[in-house]
Amino acid sequence: MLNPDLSFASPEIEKLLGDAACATWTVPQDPLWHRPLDIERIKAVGTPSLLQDIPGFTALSVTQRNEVIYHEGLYHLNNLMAGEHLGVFLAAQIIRDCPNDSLDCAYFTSSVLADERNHMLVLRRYLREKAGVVFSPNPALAKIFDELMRETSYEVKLLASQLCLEWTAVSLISSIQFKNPEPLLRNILAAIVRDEGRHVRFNRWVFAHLTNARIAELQPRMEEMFFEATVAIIASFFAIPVWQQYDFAPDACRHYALRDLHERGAMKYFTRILPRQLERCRFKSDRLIHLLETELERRVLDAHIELQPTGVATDIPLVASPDTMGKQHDA
Amino acid sequence: MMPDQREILTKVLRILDEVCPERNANATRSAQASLIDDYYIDSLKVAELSLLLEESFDVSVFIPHLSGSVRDPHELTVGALVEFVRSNLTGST
Repeated sequence: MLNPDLSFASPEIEKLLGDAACATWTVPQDPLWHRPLDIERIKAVGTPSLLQDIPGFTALSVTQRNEVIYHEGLYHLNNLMAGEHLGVFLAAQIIRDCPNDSLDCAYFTSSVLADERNHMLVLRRYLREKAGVVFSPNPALAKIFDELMRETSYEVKLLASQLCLEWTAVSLISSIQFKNPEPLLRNILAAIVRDEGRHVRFNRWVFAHLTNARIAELQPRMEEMFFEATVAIIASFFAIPVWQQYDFAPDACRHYALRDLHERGAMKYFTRILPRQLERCRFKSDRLIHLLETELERRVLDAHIELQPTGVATDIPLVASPDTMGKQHDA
Repeated sequence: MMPDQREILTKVLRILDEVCPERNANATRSAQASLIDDYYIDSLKVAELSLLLEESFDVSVFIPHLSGSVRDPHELTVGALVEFVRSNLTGST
C-alpha cells in the first residue's frame, strides 16, 4: 500500500496540482465581508425572471418583480452550494476508488475535495451572513446527488458531477459575474471559477487516458447518468419555493418557465451543445442525443411532479410573504 | 504548430459569429469589440463559446475563468479572449 516510489504518470497533472497548491484562497479574508450589501442595487439588474410571461407577473409591483428575480438568484446559489457540498463527498469516494498505481488521480482529487470544501463554506457563509436566505436544494438535484453517491464507477461520478453538473453550473453563474454589481459575490464566484478551471483540465486528462475497452464498458451508464444529470440541471431552474410565495401555481410555473428557457436558447444548449462535452471525453452517443431531443422536456416536467419541492430551511430568516420580502435582509 | 495571434483572432471571430449571430450592428468585427456590449454574450453563450473554442483549438478554454479575472466585465474584449486562448495553448494560464 505504502510505496515511497510512487510518482506522477503525467507531468501536466503534477503541474496542475502544483498550481492548486500555490493558488491562494483569500475569499474569507475579503474586506468586503464587513461592508453591507446594497440590496436595492442588486435587485435592479438581475436576469429577467423565467416567469416574466406568466399571467399575473406584470401585475406585481416593480419592487415585487425585483424581489422575485433576486430570490431566484439566491435559489440558484443555494443549489450551487448543495452541489459543492456533494462534491466534497464524491471527491472522497473518487480518491478511494480511483487507480492508485500513480499519484495523479488520487492526489489531484484531494485538491478538488479541498476546493469544493472552500466553495461550500464560502457560499454557505454568504447566503447565511449576507443574504440571510437559505433554500433546500432543488429536489431533482437532490435525487441525482443521491444517485451519484451510490454510483460504483469513479469515472461516471467524475463525468456527471464535474463535466455535466459543475461545468454547466459555473458557466451559467458567469451571468451573475457579468450583471451583478455586488462586488463580494463577484469575488466569490471569480475564486470558485478559477478553481473549476483546473478541475475541468483534470477531467479532460482522466478521460483522455481511459482505454477504448473501458470507454465502451462505461458508455451505457455514462449516457444514462448524463441524461439524468441534464434533467436535474434544467429542473433546478424552476425556483418553485420562490414562486409559490407569490401564489403562482406550480404547474403553470413549470410550463411558463420551460417556454422561457426555450426562448432564451437554453433548451437548444442542453440538447445540442452540452452532449458535445461527452464527445470531448470520447463518449459519442447518438442514443443520448435522441433521448435528449425526445424525452428531456417530459422528464423535466415529471421531475417536479414526482418530487415536490420541500421548501426552505428553517434555522435562519426565511423567504416570507411577498410584502415582507426584502425587509428581513440586513443591509 | 501553434497558431499565431492573427490565426487565433480569425478563428475566434468566426466562432463568435456562430454563437452570437445577433451582434451589435454598429460594432466593428475586431479585437477591440466588447463581448458583452457588442456580442451580447450571456451565460449560455459563454458555455457554448467555451466548448466551440475547445473543439477548435483542442485545448481547455474555460471562459468563466477569463470573466472572473477582470474587475469590470465590460473589459472583456475579443482581444482579451484571443490572448486567453493563446495563453491556454502555451500553458501559461
